[in-house]
Amino acid sequence: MEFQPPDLPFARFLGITWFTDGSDFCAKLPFCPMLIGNPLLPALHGGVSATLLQITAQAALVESGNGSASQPPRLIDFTVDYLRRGQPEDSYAKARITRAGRRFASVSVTMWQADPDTPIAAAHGHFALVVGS
Amino acid sequence: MGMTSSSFEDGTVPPDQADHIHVAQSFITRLPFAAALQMQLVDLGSAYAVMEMPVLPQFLDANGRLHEGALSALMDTCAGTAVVAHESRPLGTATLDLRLDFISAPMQGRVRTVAQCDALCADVAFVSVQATDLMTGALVAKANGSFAVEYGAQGQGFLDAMLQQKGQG
Repeated sequence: MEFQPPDLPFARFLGITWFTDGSDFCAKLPFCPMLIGNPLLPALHGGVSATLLQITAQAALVESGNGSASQPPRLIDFTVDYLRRGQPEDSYAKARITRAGRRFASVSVTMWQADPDTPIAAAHGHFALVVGS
Repeated sequence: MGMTSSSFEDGTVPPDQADHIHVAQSFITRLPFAAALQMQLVDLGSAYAVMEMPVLPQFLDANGRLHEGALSALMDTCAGTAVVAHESRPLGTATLDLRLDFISAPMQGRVRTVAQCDALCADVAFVSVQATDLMTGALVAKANGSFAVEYGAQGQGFLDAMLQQKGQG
Protein backbone atom coordinates (compact mmCIF):
# COMPACT_ATOMS: atom_id res chain seq x y z
CA MET A 1 0.00 0.00 0.00
CA GLU A 2 1.51 3.35 -1.07
CA PHE A 3 -0.38 5.49 1.38
CA GLN A 4 1.35 6.17 4.70
CA PRO A 5 -1.08 6.95 7.54
CA PRO A 6 0.04 9.46 10.20
CA ASP A 7 2.46 7.83 12.66
CA LEU A 8 0.81 8.45 16.00
CA PRO A 9 2.27 7.12 19.26
CA PHE A 10 -1.26 6.84 20.69
CA ALA A 11 -2.47 4.79 17.68
CA ARG A 12 0.50 2.43 18.17
CA PHE A 13 -0.28 2.26 21.90
CA LEU A 14 -3.83 1.04 21.09
CA GLY A 15 -2.69 -1.22 18.21
CA ILE A 16 -4.62 0.37 15.31
CA THR A 17 -3.83 -1.05 11.85
CA TRP A 18 -5.02 -0.16 8.33
CA PHE A 19 -6.49 -2.06 5.40
CA THR A 20 -8.42 -1.41 2.20
CA ASP A 21 -11.84 -2.86 1.48
CA GLY A 22 -12.26 -2.45 -2.29
CA SER A 23 -11.67 1.26 -2.82
CA ASP A 24 -12.47 2.04 0.84
CA PHE A 25 -9.78 2.82 3.34
CA CYS A 26 -10.49 1.30 6.79
CA ALA A 27 -9.00 1.10 10.27
CA LYS A 28 -8.86 -2.02 12.42
CA LEU A 29 -8.49 -2.10 16.19
CA PRO A 30 -7.78 -5.67 17.34
CA PHE A 31 -9.31 -6.39 20.72
CA CYS A 32 -7.06 -6.50 23.77
CA PRO A 33 -8.07 -6.50 27.47
CA MET A 34 -6.57 -3.01 28.03
CA LEU A 35 -9.37 -1.50 25.88
CA ILE A 36 -12.11 -2.43 28.36
CA GLY A 37 -13.79 0.50 30.10
CA ASN A 38 -16.35 -1.37 32.16
CA PRO A 39 -15.15 -4.83 33.29
CA LEU A 40 -18.57 -5.72 34.78
CA LEU A 41 -20.40 -5.80 31.40
CA PRO A 42 -17.69 -6.02 29.81
CA ALA A 43 -17.64 -3.13 27.32
CA LEU A 44 -15.03 -1.16 25.39
CA HIS A 45 -14.17 2.22 26.92
CA GLY A 46 -15.96 5.12 25.21
CA GLY A 47 -12.59 6.81 24.85
CA VAL A 48 -11.36 3.85 22.78
CA SER A 49 -14.24 4.29 20.33
CA ALA A 50 -13.69 8.06 20.21
CA THR A 51 -9.98 7.54 19.47
CA LEU A 52 -10.55 4.99 16.69
CA LEU A 53 -13.12 7.30 15.06
CA GLN A 54 -10.85 10.37 15.33
CA ILE A 55 -7.78 8.61 13.94
CA THR A 56 -9.76 7.10 11.06
CA ALA A 57 -11.25 10.49 10.12
CA GLN A 58 -7.80 12.12 10.20
CA ALA A 59 -6.15 9.34 8.14
CA ALA A 60 -8.93 9.55 5.53
CA LEU A 61 -8.10 13.24 5.03
CA VAL A 62 -4.38 12.50 4.64
CA GLU A 63 -5.19 9.65 2.23
CA SER A 64 -7.19 12.07 0.06
CA GLY A 65 -4.30 14.55 -0.11
CA ASN A 66 -5.11 16.88 2.79
CA GLY A 67 -2.04 17.29 4.95
CA SER A 68 0.70 14.68 5.26
CA ALA A 69 1.64 11.82 7.56
CA SER A 70 4.01 14.10 9.48
CA GLN A 71 1.67 17.14 9.38
CA PRO A 72 -1.84 15.68 9.53
CA PRO A 73 -4.95 17.91 9.77
CA ARG A 74 -5.67 19.14 13.31
CA LEU A 75 -8.90 18.13 15.01
CA ILE A 76 -11.06 21.12 15.99
CA ASP A 77 -14.19 19.45 17.33
CA PHE A 78 -15.70 16.00 17.42
CA THR A 79 -19.18 14.65 18.25
CA VAL A 80 -19.57 10.96 19.05
CA ASP A 81 -22.90 9.08 19.18
CA TYR A 82 -22.62 5.87 21.16
CA LEU A 83 -25.14 3.57 19.45
CA ARG A 84 -24.43 0.16 20.99
CA ARG A 85 -22.20 -1.28 23.67
CA GLY A 86 -18.71 -2.07 22.34
CA GLN A 87 -18.20 -5.84 22.74
CA PRO A 88 -14.80 -7.29 23.70
CA GLU A 89 -13.93 -8.08 20.07
CA ASP A 90 -12.16 -6.53 17.06
CA SER A 91 -13.46 -3.12 15.87
CA TYR A 92 -13.36 -1.40 12.50
CA ALA A 93 -13.98 2.15 11.24
CA LYS A 94 -14.45 3.92 7.94
CA ALA A 95 -14.67 7.66 7.22
CA ARG A 96 -16.49 9.72 4.61
CA ILE A 97 -15.28 13.23 3.83
CA THR A 98 -18.32 15.51 3.62
CA ARG A 99 -16.31 18.50 2.47
CA ALA A 100 -12.64 19.44 2.39
CA GLY A 101 -12.16 23.11 1.55
CA ARG A 102 -9.01 25.22 1.60
CA ARG A 103 -8.80 25.69 5.38
CA PHE A 104 -11.33 23.32 6.96
CA ALA A 105 -12.79 19.87 6.44
CA SER A 106 -15.90 18.11 7.69
CA VAL A 107 -15.74 14.32 8.10
CA SER A 108 -18.26 11.63 9.13
CA VAL A 109 -17.05 8.30 10.44
CA THR A 110 -18.66 5.07 11.65
CA MET A 111 -17.39 2.17 13.75
CA TRP A 112 -18.60 -1.45 13.74
CA GLN A 113 -17.58 -4.86 15.02
CA ALA A 114 -18.88 -8.21 13.67
CA ASP A 115 -21.38 -6.71 11.22
CA PRO A 116 -20.50 -3.67 9.04
CA ASP A 117 -24.23 -2.86 8.79
CA THR A 118 -24.58 -2.65 12.58
CA PRO A 119 -22.58 0.40 13.67
CA ILE A 120 -21.69 0.68 17.37
CA ALA A 121 -20.67 4.36 17.15
CA ALA A 122 -20.96 7.22 14.67
CA ALA A 123 -19.17 10.54 14.75
CA HIS A 124 -18.79 13.82 12.95
CA GLY A 125 -15.84 16.17 13.24
CA HIS A 126 -14.14 19.26 11.88
CA PHE A 127 -10.45 19.54 11.04
CA ALA A 128 -8.16 22.49 10.31
CA LEU A 129 -6.21 21.70 7.13
CA VAL A 130 -3.64 24.47 7.50
CA VAL A 131 -1.54 23.19 10.38
CA GLY A 132 0.34 25.84 12.29
CA SER A 133 3.52 25.04 14.19
CA MET B 1 -13.72 26.79 39.10
CA GLY B 2 -14.65 25.62 42.58
CA MET B 3 -11.94 22.98 42.80
CA THR B 4 -12.29 22.87 46.56
CA SER B 5 -16.08 23.22 46.71
CA SER B 6 -16.37 19.84 48.39
CA SER B 7 -13.73 20.43 51.08
CA PHE B 8 -14.00 22.11 54.46
CA GLU B 9 -12.73 25.69 54.78
CA ASP B 10 -9.53 24.50 56.44
CA GLY B 11 -8.80 22.32 53.39
CA THR B 12 -9.58 18.96 55.00
CA VAL B 13 -12.07 16.59 53.41
CA PRO B 14 -15.17 15.42 55.32
CA PRO B 15 -14.78 11.75 56.41
CA ASP B 16 -17.73 10.38 54.34
CA GLN B 17 -16.45 12.11 51.28
CA ALA B 18 -12.88 10.89 51.77
CA ASP B 19 -14.39 7.36 51.77
CA HIS B 20 -16.30 8.13 48.57
CA ILE B 21 -13.19 9.44 46.80
CA HIS B 22 -11.24 6.41 47.98
CA VAL B 23 -13.77 3.80 46.78
CA ALA B 24 -14.42 5.65 43.51
CA GLN B 25 -10.66 5.87 42.85
CA SER B 26 -10.17 2.17 43.55
CA PHE B 27 -13.04 1.40 41.11
CA ILE B 28 -11.50 3.64 38.42
CA THR B 29 -8.15 1.87 38.93
CA ARG B 30 -9.94 -1.41 38.15
CA LEU B 31 -11.17 -0.09 34.76
CA PRO B 32 -8.44 -1.42 32.44
CA PHE B 33 -8.42 1.52 30.00
CA ALA B 34 -8.55 4.13 32.78
CA ALA B 35 -5.63 2.33 34.46
CA ALA B 36 -3.69 2.14 31.17
CA LEU B 37 -4.02 5.90 30.82
CA GLN B 38 -3.09 6.37 34.52
CA MET B 39 -6.25 8.33 35.28
CA GLN B 40 -6.60 9.55 38.83
CA LEU B 41 -9.60 10.90 40.70
CA VAL B 42 -8.56 13.94 42.74
CA ASP B 43 -11.90 15.31 43.96
CA LEU B 44 -15.50 14.21 44.11
CA GLY B 45 -18.51 16.24 45.21
CA SER B 46 -22.24 16.31 44.58
CA ALA B 47 -22.63 15.82 40.78
CA TYR B 48 -19.02 16.91 40.46
CA ALA B 49 -15.72 15.13 39.74
CA VAL B 50 -12.11 16.21 39.16
CA MET B 51 -9.62 13.88 37.47
CA GLU B 52 -6.03 14.05 36.24
CA MET B 53 -3.87 12.21 33.75
CA PRO B 54 -0.14 12.45 32.93
CA VAL B 55 0.97 13.41 29.41
CA LEU B 56 3.13 10.37 28.58
CA PRO B 57 5.06 9.73 25.31
CA GLN B 58 2.72 6.88 24.30
CA PHE B 59 -0.33 9.23 24.54
CA LEU B 60 0.98 11.73 21.94
CA ASP B 61 -0.08 12.61 18.37
CA ALA B 62 2.12 13.20 15.29
CA ASN B 63 3.10 16.67 16.54
CA GLY B 64 4.16 15.59 20.02
CA ARG B 65 1.01 16.86 21.71
CA LEU B 66 -1.45 14.90 23.86
CA HIS B 67 -3.69 12.98 21.43
CA GLU B 68 -7.34 14.07 21.35
CA GLY B 69 -8.39 10.45 21.85
CA ALA B 70 -6.61 10.17 25.21
CA LEU B 71 -8.21 13.46 26.24
CA SER B 72 -11.63 12.20 25.07
CA ALA B 73 -11.21 9.10 27.25
CA LEU B 74 -10.36 11.19 30.33
CA MET B 75 -13.25 13.63 29.75
CA ASP B 76 -15.72 10.77 29.20
CA THR B 77 -14.60 9.00 32.40
CA CYS B 78 -14.69 12.22 34.44
CA ALA B 79 -18.18 13.07 33.13
CA GLY B 80 -19.50 9.58 33.96
CA THR B 81 -18.03 9.86 37.46
CA ALA B 82 -19.83 13.20 38.00
CA VAL B 83 -23.10 11.49 36.99
CA VAL B 84 -22.80 8.66 39.54
CA ALA B 85 -21.90 11.28 42.17
CA HIS B 86 -25.31 12.94 41.62
CA GLU B 87 -27.47 13.24 44.74
CA SER B 88 -30.16 10.97 43.18
CA ARG B 89 -27.69 8.09 43.71
CA PRO B 90 -27.46 6.49 40.24
CA LEU B 91 -26.16 2.91 40.14
CA GLY B 92 -24.53 3.33 36.75
CA THR B 93 -24.34 5.39 33.59
CA ALA B 94 -23.53 5.07 29.88
CA THR B 95 -22.47 7.78 27.46
CA LEU B 96 -25.16 8.59 24.86
CA ASP B 97 -23.17 11.28 23.11
CA LEU B 98 -20.19 13.50 23.72
CA ARG B 99 -19.27 16.67 21.85
CA LEU B 100 -15.69 17.81 22.33
CA ASP B 101 -13.93 21.06 21.39
CA PHE B 102 -10.12 20.85 21.20
CA ILE B 103 -8.36 24.13 21.95
CA SER B 104 -4.65 23.56 22.71
CA ALA B 105 -3.16 20.25 23.79
CA PRO B 106 -0.14 20.09 26.12
CA MET B 107 3.15 18.42 25.16
CA GLN B 108 4.08 17.39 28.71
CA GLY B 109 3.00 17.60 32.33
CA ARG B 110 -0.52 16.75 33.44
CA VAL B 111 -4.06 17.56 32.38
CA ARG B 112 -6.90 18.08 34.84
CA THR B 113 -10.58 17.69 33.99
CA VAL B 114 -13.48 19.12 35.97
CA ALA B 115 -16.91 17.65 35.24
CA GLN B 116 -20.24 18.97 36.46
CA CYS B 117 -23.53 17.17 35.97
CA ASP B 118 -25.65 20.28 35.19
CA ALA B 119 -29.03 18.52 35.09
CA LEU B 120 -30.50 15.06 35.53
CA CYS B 121 -34.03 14.56 34.27
CA ALA B 122 -35.99 11.47 33.13
CA ASP B 123 -32.96 9.16 33.46
CA VAL B 124 -30.78 11.37 31.27
CA ALA B 125 -27.90 13.40 32.71
CA PHE B 126 -26.39 16.45 31.01
CA VAL B 127 -22.74 17.02 31.82
CA SER B 128 -20.17 19.70 30.99
CA VAL B 129 -16.43 19.08 31.27
CA GLN B 130 -13.40 21.36 31.05
CA ALA B 131 -9.80 20.23 30.67
CA THR B 132 -6.86 22.43 31.65
CA ASP B 133 -3.08 22.17 31.41
CA LEU B 134 -2.00 21.81 35.02
CA MET B 135 1.37 23.51 34.39
CA THR B 136 0.14 26.61 32.53
CA GLY B 137 -3.52 26.74 33.53
CA ALA B 138 -4.44 27.03 29.82
CA LEU B 139 -7.79 25.67 28.63
CA VAL B 140 -7.07 22.43 26.72
CA ALA B 141 -10.56 21.27 25.75
CA LYS B 142 -14.21 21.46 26.70
CA ALA B 143 -16.98 18.97 26.24
CA ASN B 144 -20.70 18.47 26.69
CA GLY B 145 -22.35 15.10 26.89
CA SER B 146 -25.63 13.35 27.61
CA PHE B 147 -25.60 10.17 29.64
CA ALA B 148 -28.20 7.42 30.22
CA VAL B 149 -28.67 6.91 33.97
CA GLU B 150 -29.57 3.63 35.68
CA TYR B 151 -30.89 3.21 39.19
CA GLY B 152 -30.69 0.16 41.44
CA ALA B 153 -33.82 -1.74 42.52
CA GLN B 154 -33.40 -0.77 46.19
CA GLY B 155 -32.30 2.77 45.44
CA GLN B 156 -28.71 1.82 46.23
CA GLY B 157 -26.30 4.09 44.40
CA PHE B 158 -22.94 3.37 42.78
CA LEU B 159 -20.96 4.85 45.67
CA ASP B 160 -23.09 2.96 48.25
CA ALA B 161 -22.41 -0.29 46.37
CA MET B 162 -18.69 0.45 46.30
CA LEU B 163 -18.61 1.27 50.03
CA GLN B 164 -20.53 -1.92 50.84
CA GLN B 165 -18.17 -3.99 48.69
CA LYS B 166 -15.21 -2.43 50.47
CA GLY B 167 -16.79 -3.25 53.86
CA GLN B 168 -17.25 -6.90 52.81
CA GLY B 169 -13.83 -7.16 51.22
